[in-house]
Amino acid sequence: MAYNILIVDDSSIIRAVVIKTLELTGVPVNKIFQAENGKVGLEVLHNNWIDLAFVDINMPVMGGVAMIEEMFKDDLLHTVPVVVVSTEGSKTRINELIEKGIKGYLRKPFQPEALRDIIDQSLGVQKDEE
Amino acid sequence: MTDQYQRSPGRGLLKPINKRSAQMQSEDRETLLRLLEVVLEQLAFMFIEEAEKEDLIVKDGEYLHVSMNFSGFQHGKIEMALHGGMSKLVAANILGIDDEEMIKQSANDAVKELLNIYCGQMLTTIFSSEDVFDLSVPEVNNISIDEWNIMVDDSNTIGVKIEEFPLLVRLSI
Repeated sequence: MAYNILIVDDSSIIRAVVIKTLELTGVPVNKIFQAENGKVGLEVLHNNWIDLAFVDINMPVMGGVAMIEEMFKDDLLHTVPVVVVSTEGSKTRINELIEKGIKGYLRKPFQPEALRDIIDQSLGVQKDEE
Repeated sequence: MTDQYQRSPGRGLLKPINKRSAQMQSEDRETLLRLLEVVLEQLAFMFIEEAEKEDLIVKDGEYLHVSMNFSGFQHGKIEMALHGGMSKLVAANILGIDDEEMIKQSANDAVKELLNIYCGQMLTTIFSSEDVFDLSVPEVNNISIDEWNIMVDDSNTIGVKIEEFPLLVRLSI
């Protein structure tokens, strides 16, 4: 199964790094969608089937926390697994997001292996299924 | 003033903020330096060399200044200044590319992200991982030679060299 993945980050360089890292991990990808803030991210989610969303926290227009809150209020979008990829280091804020329902958290900068592990964990991929 | 901001045991710092804000303390300088080393190495595969103030004074060249504010338990500003050529090197290394046009387009974004990541690491290291901070979006501008040299002279600035390019970091709280 190949996945549709959404990357929401205001930094084009980080979106490029995530895409490149996804290629390195060998995760089967059907299509990658990109959004530069939470508002655009929500629009993409409403218009496309997304299997996994990587969401930054600190973004202009609409930040990641507001986007995730909107997603979890939505009947359809609340089922989309969300991984926060951020510089955020506050355990308090991360725990709040985990309580809201995010599947994982990856702190920048990250290694490809960490991204692979969190994708497997978020999509429920078993090692022997690969 | 009493130590109204004295942190509880297990938290990052045990010093009152009014003493901290006057001048950066030596342990903070060391922490900022070590974090810079780690972030640049992990993000852009770059290695820093410590530099004396006189080695950081410049006479020509184009320089960028990137800054962002943080607020929460403590509020302040973190700034980074670097040679324009180094911003391209950071972009090239993060993306692993040698396409000059793409590098040029990504240079400002690369230094903004470098500061963003550095700021996130700094806040949890110098303060604590329990506190919640709100961060502004990093802003990048050109700075003049005079502005650069004034920043070098500031006692709150730390400076390093990376592949002969100078880089400055200043934390204001």
